[in-house]
Amino acid sequence: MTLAAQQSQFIEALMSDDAPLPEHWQARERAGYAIYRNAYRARLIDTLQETYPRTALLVGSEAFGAAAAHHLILHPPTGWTLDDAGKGFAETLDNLFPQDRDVCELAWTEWAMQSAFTAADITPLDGPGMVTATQSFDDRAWQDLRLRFMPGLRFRQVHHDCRALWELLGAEPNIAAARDLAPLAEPQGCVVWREGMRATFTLIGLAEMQALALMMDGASYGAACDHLVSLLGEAAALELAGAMLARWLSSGWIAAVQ
Amino acid sequence: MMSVPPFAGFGLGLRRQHYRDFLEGTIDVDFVEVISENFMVDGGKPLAVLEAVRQKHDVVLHGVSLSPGSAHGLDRNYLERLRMLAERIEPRWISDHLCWTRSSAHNSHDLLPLPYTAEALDVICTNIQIAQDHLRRPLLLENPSSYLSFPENEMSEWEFLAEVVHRTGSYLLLDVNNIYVSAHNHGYSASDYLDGLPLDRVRQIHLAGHTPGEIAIDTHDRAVCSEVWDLLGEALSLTGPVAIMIERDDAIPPLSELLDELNVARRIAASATREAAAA
Repeated sequence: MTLAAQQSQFIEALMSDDAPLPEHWQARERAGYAIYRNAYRARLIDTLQETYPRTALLVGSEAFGAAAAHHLILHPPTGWTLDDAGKGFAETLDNLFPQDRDVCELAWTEWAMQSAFTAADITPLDGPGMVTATQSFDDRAWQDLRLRFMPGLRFRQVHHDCRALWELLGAEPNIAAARDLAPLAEPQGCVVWREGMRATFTLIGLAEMQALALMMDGASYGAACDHLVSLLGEAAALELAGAMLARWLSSGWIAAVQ
Repeated sequence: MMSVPPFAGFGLGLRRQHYRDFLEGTIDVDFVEVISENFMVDGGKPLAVLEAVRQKHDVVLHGVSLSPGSAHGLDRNYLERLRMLAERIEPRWISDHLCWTRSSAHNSHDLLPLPYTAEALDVICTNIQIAQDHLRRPLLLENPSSYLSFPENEMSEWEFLAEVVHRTGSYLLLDVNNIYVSAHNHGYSASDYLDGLPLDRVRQIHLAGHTPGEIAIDTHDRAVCSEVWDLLGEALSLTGPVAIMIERDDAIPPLSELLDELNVARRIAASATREAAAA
């Protein structure tokens, strides 16, 4: 057997009890191999626990361990960084706990927070910078305005108050209260980004989230405003269009005017 | 290819629990070792901390994901990330392990054992040459702890490692605890292991604790045991002064405990130096 085939067999057997070990291995080799197999699983489940501490509290350690093991079977790690072992875990939880949207939403928030924490270092555009960049703008230029957003900025629709969940499962966790938390009256957008050296998040209205999604996807400010008008009517849309731009700027979500 | 000059100093690993100690205090170490992968990120606090620590200390990069023994070759994206980190931090050296971690499809995130065969020797030497060319510097290779010895082995681990160093021009990171653990697990002599290596190529020594048992496990979660301290003395009598550091990756104690352990290493090193001078 070539070394490549030997290594593929070795790794396959780490991931599955059903994968065969070499037939000529004796008890000594099998006992040694068991150390690697146990270490593989323990290390990756520990990594998910470290990445998703609040989610683990919310679902309980036994259910979390089973979900983590399930995730690793479905998505064994492929990349060089152990951090990526947790990629897609929110989607795995969404499938495992379809009735408990708070679980998936909290896991998404924890993953987005970790991703934002090590996002590239770029100084966000500030108020004076925006004024300088747009001082020669006429109406047409404002319509055509496109923005580049900060690395690590993520958003998604949520049905639970992630801020409340985050607090309830923090330093002094109140797990019962977290599990009893009622859904939001209306879905909202959760936005995660890095503020200085700290990852943080906030909730915004769905209309604003959709405008953000459009502009992050390359749409112009004019197109985002048109979308707001279709959702809210002209007066409310105009009010929100100005307020949201001010919020994005003051929160440090915008990297540059394109 | 550049050489790696000898450097005799005493260091510790930079762990998250001790960031504040290293940033705010004056820590009595000659160098700091960091896990490369923890800092191969785009930005944020980890890199900012490392750059601040670099202002105060010599740094060496110690990797766990190069996978030089992989028959499926090296991950070029990984190599490039490592090169960028090295350019940014200017470490004294870069090390990784005599092991493999990944197949073509999956990554185990563990330091998996190699069969010590001619084929594996060709594979690892080719990969190390590629890595050294990309990084434009020789690597230090660490002997791993292992729990499995392949029936296919055609040579001992020390013969294999010595040949890798000879063929690639790399250097050695001698993990004294790993020699102790593997010698126990596979029933060979730690002294034979030391005698079989080109010890003039050793640039760094690792010390750590392990979990004893029928199969000893390299857990890095406790203090260095007396047998490993004894083996350090034996190793230093053969290598002369080199960089020494304590590794602790689990059950991480206050920094003062690790500094106390490092002082034990200092005493053993001083004693080895005195004995060498007297001989």
